[in-house]
Amino acid sequence: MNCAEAKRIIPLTRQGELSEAEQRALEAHLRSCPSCAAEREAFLSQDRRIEQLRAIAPDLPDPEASVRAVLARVRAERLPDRQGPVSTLVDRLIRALEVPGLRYALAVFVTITVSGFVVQQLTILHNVSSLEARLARPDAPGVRMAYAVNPETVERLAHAEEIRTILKRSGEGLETGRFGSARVGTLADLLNAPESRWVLRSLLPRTGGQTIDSLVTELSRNVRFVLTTSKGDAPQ
Amino acid sequence: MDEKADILARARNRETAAFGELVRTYQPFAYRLAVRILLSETEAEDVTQEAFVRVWRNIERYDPSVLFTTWLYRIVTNLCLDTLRARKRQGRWHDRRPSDDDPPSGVDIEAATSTADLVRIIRSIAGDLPETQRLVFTLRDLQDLSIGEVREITGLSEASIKTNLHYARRALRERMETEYGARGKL
Repeated sequence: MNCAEAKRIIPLTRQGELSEAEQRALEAHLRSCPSCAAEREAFLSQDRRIEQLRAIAPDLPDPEASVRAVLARVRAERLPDRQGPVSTLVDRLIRALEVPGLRYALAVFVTITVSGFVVQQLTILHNVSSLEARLARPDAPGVRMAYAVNPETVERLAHAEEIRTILKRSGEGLETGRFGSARVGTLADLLNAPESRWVLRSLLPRTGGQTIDSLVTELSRNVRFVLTTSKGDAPQ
Repeated sequence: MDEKADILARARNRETAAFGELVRTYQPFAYRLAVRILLSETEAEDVTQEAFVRVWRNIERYDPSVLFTTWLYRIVTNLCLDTLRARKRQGRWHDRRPSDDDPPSGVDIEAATSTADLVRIIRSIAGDLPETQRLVFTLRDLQDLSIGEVREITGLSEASIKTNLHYARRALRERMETEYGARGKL
């Protein structure tokens, strides 16, 4: 071993860093080279000084607080429950929602959907209120719908009592025209418009939804409605 | 099965109480390594907690044929390197750079006993080493891990570890002898 080869391994002073062959060759070289021997001794001395630093073992200021902090965090973790595939699927979905982009997209989607629903409901409420107000003023100007019905026919209907109530309370007040965002063109449209259902329900507060549905069917089949203007002219 | 192996097995089975015991047993090792790499007690505490949260998340991936401490050290080391790189991006290699305004510590390496001494001395003699050299020096010379463990933790080859040790120790020798004298008074 020459000096260049020795200098390459001289700093490797600690056990296990040199092979037995390297160790033997280095020792042989050091016996014949005082300069390399001095350098080796300097590195051995350096290692002894570093050993002093090695002996300093920093300790956590409050180990128990640290344990508690870790446990609080792991308890808050959503980890897969290894009970079955359904749980794993749910966990995967939850994990997927932890991706910020997906989370924001979902938040935007939910906001738009909820806002749309709220706006729709408010619009219906507004339309129902104005319709009810107009129903309360039967002589108000505008296009109106008059009904023509044979009282005997009504008596044969399954919902005779409810239909009598409707006819009595609505008079000639059912107004055709624009209901909400839909143009009402036919009797079926009028009766099936959400506002009509609300009106029917307000007229028959103790009547269930299914009864209202069958009522609408009976009204459509057995009560003739005639569109009139406020002046009494039938529309073309 | 010894007690540690039993705790580890129960923690792998997601028993929180056993995991708490695992943290209690091994957090001193994680914290010491983190302090020695980061030279910051506050950041080391954060990294230690984060390391155990990651252990909990990935404990089923732990291979029992590897020492648990080696696996833990790998996690701690990676978190520390992330922290050091974040510091570097922010323009600071150390938690706090030593300044000319700092009073001299007056501590010999041989007389150093506290964590503050350790941090001050390591920062002074090894703070400016390239990242890999400092990491290998820390794992091997301060944490007293074998070359094999250093290889497992860093993924470096044995030859690369020895080369980095060679350069790190030469650089340290220069700093210790030229800047602070042969006795290394810091």
